[in-house]
Amino acid sequence: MVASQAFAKIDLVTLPNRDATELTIYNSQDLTLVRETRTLSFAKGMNEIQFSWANTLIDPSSLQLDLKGAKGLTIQDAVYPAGTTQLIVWNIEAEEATSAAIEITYFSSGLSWSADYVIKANNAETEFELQQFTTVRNNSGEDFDNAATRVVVGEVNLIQLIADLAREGIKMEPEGAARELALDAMNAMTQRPAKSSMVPAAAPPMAQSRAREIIKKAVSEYYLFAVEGKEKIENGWGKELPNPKVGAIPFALSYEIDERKYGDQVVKFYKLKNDTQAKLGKEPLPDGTYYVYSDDGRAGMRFEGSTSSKYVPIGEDIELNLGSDGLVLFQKKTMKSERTNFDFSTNGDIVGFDEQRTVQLEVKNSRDRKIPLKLTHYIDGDWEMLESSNPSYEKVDRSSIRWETTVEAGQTLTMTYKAVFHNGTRTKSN
Amino acid sequence: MKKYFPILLLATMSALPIAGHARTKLVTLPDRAKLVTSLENPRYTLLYEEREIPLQKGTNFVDFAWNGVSIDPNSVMIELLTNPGDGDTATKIIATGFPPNEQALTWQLFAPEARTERIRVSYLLNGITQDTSYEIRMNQKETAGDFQQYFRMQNASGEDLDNAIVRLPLMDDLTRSMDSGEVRRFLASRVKELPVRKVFIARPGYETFLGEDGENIDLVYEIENKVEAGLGKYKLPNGKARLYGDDGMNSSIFLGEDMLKQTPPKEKAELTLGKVKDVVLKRRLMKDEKTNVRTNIQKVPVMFDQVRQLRYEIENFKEEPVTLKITETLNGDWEIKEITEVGVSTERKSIDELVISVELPANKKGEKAEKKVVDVSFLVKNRFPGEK
Repeated sequence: MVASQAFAKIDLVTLPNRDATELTIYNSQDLTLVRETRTLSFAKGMNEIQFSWANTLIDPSSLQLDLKGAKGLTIQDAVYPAGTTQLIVWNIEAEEATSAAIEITYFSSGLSWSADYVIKANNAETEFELQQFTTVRNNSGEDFDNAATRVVVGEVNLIQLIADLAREGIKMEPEGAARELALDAMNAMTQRPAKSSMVPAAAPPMAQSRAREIIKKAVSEYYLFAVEGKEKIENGWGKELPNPKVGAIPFALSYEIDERKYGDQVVKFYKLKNDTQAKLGKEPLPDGTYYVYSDDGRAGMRFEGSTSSKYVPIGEDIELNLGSDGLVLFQKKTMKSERTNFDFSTNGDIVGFDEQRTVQLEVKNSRDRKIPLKLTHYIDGDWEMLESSNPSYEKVDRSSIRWETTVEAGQTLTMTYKAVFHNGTRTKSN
Repeated sequence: MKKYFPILLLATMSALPIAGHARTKLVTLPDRAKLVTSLENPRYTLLYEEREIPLQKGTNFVDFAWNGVSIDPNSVMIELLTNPGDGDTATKIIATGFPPNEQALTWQLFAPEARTERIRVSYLLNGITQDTSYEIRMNQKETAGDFQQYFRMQNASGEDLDNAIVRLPLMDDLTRSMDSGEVRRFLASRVKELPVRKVFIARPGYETFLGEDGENIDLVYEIENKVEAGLGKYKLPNGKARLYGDDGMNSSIFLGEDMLKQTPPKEKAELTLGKVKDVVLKRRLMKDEKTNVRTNIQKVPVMFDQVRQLRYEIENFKEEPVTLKITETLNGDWEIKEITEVGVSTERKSIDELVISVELPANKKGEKAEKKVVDVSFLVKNRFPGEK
């Protein structure tokens, strides 16, 4: 019982238990919408319901009390008493003595959530098992027991940080802003649908016998992930909840060379799409860190790398950059350069020429298996390809070409090309 | 006996929540059944251990603490090996709790019956560093050497590794114990008679001619990472190589050391150990002419060809034939026009590197060394004013 403990921070004078708590935690902002239900007893006449929140990170301006349509009860006003910063008193008039389940909502800072993913690939690196974890961290100053946990993916706009509002206490806004906020608050009050019993009374604690299902739902431009069941999340603690595993997800292994992106490193990727073909695609994947392992073929596991990924919408590519494994090496050499086709001005000065350059690209594969390779190579200037040992490249744009090929196990792939570069008056393009 | 960290502890409770005070009545678990230090990732050390833990029917709490050990807490993972899966009979991982201000976490497991479960706990461990070194003990003729590849591991992680399987990329496993603070060196591979080729390499500067002073000549030993030589299975990683020579008096001398650059299978590694004194190379610029000069109407040169003739005067004072390689650094559109001596071969490595190899006969004892004079002429075409 929160209010009776030494660390209890939120206090209602009548000291009722929280019947239920719901936490809706955002990850784009330090923001959690806390919704708690308590059953209060009212005497006939005016009742003062006092709510205090010492040493917590609650935004006082967000506090709302909803009578949930209880008959014979009317909220007269809400008072922030002089000289206090973490106290609100609701004056509620009761026509008769009664009890009612009321709902209090507020914004709190200090709760956060993050997504992590663990990938375990097979030894052939063709399929992997994916498990998503949702970790909730509570540094709000408040213990939450028996709390329904929901996390929100999406970018929510805040004019002011909740942590700042919690620190400042009640502070009047400049006039115009205050009027708008008041109007918003009124609209919110009047438009809120009257739900008689949003959260049932707390069920007795039971032994959880399986990983919790995560119920996923699109709401406006946000995605809501609701964790099945109730959690105890004490202040200072983090709690990681596993989602069910998705197995045998096909993916593409790729080694990539791109000097402008990765320098001279050959970078390894696991690639797939967030779609049904990959046994995914039912919801977006929140941004998070992927820990990638593979079966090392020796009854053990190999750590391939960890990489953070942005939010992946449904249907979008997932590209996990695992860094260099040190087993594939790349070298580029210019072998020859010849100047030809000189243009002279009427004065006899050189005003243009061509340069024919022969370049050799070498990829050494030390792995014991054939690897797919994507090699993006940059050629600056006004150039034309004259000959190539591997002509099946794609011209990506005017200054880059790309080969998609394979390198056999333990082999060196050597590719050469000769290109002509036009200079000065020989230049054909801008 | 030192205590091992991290510590895995077990508490079995019916419905106790994950909380700090719930982790007081704890039982130390059996020792690790298996411990693997995987160094296959070039940047991260993955440690995983397997243990058999007794679980009671219902909810069990397993604590994992790593005081004094540098672990990436986000990487700590538990896997169930005996009864994994989603079915009713499987053991389940329900949640992981992270207590405040502690290097610890608590797993909440559910077992449908009392059972022993083999679990694997894995995490990324900081503080393990590794390197490779090589030792080659040459035979007296310097044609082959006893090649030993050592793997060195420093454990500054704070964790004692007892009977750990050390797993290296593309190499066989090693099993070793290693206390925190220790550095250990393991023999990773050995080839008793690895063919070694001794070559002399001069690397003169393009515009630097030392004339009578003679050029520096490096003493280089070449080895090949190939199957025929007894290697070739794996890439040789970067590492310091030390070579020792047989002095013919049942002892050895240190010949020198160099960094062996990572060498994939089928590639050659060069180790430069010192300077050669018994072969003398004098390199002279005999000709540096502009030809085919093209001018504008004011007779100002706008382009020219360049003819450079380099002379190499070489003397071998050794009583054995040697190969001298001269690596020239060049520029522009160059080609070799003429080489005056037979038995000289050249290899264009790239636009700016040419290797000239000269075979030198042995010097006959008591006779004056034969001086070999090699002239090499280069034509560099279409240079612009200001270009060397």
